[in-house]
Amino acid sequence: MKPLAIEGMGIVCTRGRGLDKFVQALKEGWIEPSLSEEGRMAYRISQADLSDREVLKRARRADRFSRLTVLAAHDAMRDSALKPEDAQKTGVIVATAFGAHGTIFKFLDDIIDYGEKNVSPTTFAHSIHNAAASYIAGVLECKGPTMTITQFHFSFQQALVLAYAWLHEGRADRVLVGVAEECSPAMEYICEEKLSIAADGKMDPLSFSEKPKLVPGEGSVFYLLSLNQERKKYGAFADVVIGRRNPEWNDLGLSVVGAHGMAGSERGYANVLKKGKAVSAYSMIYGGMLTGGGFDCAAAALALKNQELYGAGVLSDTGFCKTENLKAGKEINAVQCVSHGCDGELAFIKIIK
Amino acid sequence: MKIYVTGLGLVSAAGKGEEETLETFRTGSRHAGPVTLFSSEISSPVFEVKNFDRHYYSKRLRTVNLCLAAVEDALKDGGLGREIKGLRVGVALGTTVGSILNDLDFYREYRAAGKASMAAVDRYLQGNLASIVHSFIKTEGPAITVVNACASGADAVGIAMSWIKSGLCDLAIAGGADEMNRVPLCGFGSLGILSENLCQPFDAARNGLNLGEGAGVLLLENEKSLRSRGARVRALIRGYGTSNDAHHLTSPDPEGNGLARAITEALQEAEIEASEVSFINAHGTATRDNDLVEGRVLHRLFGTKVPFLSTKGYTGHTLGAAGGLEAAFSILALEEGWIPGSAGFTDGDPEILLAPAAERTFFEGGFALSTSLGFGGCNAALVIERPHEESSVL
Repeated sequence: MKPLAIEGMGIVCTRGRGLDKFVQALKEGWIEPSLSEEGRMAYRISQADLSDREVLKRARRADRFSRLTVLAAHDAMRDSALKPEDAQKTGVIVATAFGAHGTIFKFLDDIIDYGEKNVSPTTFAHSIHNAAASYIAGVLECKGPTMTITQFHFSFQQALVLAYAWLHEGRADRVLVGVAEECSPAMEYICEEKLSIAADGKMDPLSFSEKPKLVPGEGSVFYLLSLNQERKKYGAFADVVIGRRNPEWNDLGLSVVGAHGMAGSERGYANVLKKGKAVSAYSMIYGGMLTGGGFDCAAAALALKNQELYGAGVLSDTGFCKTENLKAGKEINAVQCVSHGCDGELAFIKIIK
Repeated sequence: MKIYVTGLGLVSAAGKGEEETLETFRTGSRHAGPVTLFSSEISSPVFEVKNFDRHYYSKRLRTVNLCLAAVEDALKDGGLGREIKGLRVGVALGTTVGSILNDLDFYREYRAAGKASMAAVDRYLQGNLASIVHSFIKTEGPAITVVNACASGADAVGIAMSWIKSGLCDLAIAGGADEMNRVPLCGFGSLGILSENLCQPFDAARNGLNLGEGAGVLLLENEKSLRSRGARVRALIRGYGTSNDAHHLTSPDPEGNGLARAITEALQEAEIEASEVSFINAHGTATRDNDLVEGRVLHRLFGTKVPFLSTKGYTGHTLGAAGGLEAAFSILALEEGWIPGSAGFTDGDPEILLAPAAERTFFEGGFALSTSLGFGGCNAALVIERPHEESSVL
């Protein structure tokens, strides 16, 4: 696979909008999640972080899911300093596990409250999975291929593979690839029923627990990718391996573990990591998300760019992890992000400097 | 690189399998009626798959069972069993309702009591089409469930083509599936684009679409895989174009520039001229806007001599399944040498400048174009070729 140069990144998560805030969070580590009216914990995004009249003027009616997605995609494009006239043949891939479920439930509210014939067409239009991608295309004038995909566990990894195919074929000059998830009261209830919520609000991703605990999160992260290595700003995605084999890359300076508490036992991570090598995890920063791999890669890319190992206040020291922020002792040239699904499948993403 | 189609699987109101579908197309019969799969206040006719009895999983979404029926038929048609070992197999499947947690009973219960049974959630979590099919065939390779609204099925075929061309897999299962569901029925009703009568694509009196359900799946492979298996070639996917209007969430660009770009890209990839296209299987939903924009674009690019039709008069709008089904229908037409009459069409719309085939029409040549448009300004176009005699069995 020819490396996919990261020309720009944009991120919106509970710690705010922008890479600076994300780096700050990686250094500061855990903070307390917010509580909903129902008393449920989650790492939610404040309304203030989703307000930007200038960027969202062509998305004024957009729902929460589309807004956070558009803002992250916009910021990735701006970060790349790509001229708007060069964006026309830019593809868009939005990867999500659950999509705009807050809006879907709102549409169901309409059916229950007003009857099948009196539902809101605006709510319906926004409940469709690809509404966010449509807004991105409109706001950023991207007229290339625009795709929304959903795999519960490896959406982001599969999106990278598709971006590679498009760029390899010349179907797009650049591809905006990102993930997006949102919190909603009904989904937080489902998480509580189906998963183990961390009662103290502390996720402990490096405990490699049989029954991991999580705090649900929301957010969006986008990457502007191309095959033009001269434009890479944060390194490049060098490989994506999905399946049951461990690629065993030997040049890794850091492994980022995608333990998000959403895919059952996390003991398997210990089998694919090497003791004595730097390992970290960051889900306690942005919360548990099935597409959390997208956020893990942002942390990895920033570690590469800034040559820093972010400790993030990791709770468990299992013999793998660094628990404080360190300047890299020697140059970090490659980082892997590893995630596993419910059925034992693994996904590895390699990012190089 | 050539991308071969070696298997087809299709289920819709037009028929379960190829024979029933062709018979429907020959006779022009339309199997629509009021929705029976759930109770509804909405009286618009729908195209349900009647007497569908292939229940692979009793507690899963109907979409999953429709999809697996088409996948199994495509594999069988391609000379493969349920399990494919030793090949790198990609799975790209489009859907809309199959990807959304929209169970009304679950939500009503949750809203009323603050808690609810997790049965609907489990059904949803076990409903990701690409994941299910991957585990069904017990293989590894790229897997994507495409949720690009009504263009999902065509895009899934295009993605599979991209994977094979990029060397990511040798063989791919691609298409789409969707079940009849209350949420899109209400949603399309709210947009005012459901017809109270049988739909009339491209007709002057058209006043909206009918929803349908089904699944259409193609088995695609590269030459290496084809030769190693000695498989029969039914068609070639020669070109795929995809674009976004960057215009509006629910309305197509009035000029149709995005669709024109997608079609042009597909023709360029296929290395053919517009004049070489034998027929067009248009998206043709029978809404005022879609058919007007699409008809004008087809007129602009192809003039008046290329026959075209919409098969939605036989299937209804099957949403995420439409692109897969219509690619499969196009392959059947290429094999038969005729397209069916565009069901529901009687009078041309002077604004569209074109009229679809009103009755069964024979054609010359071996290239078909299948177009799909979706919410969010998505456009997709596939160019499909009938194989030459010498390459039909490799």
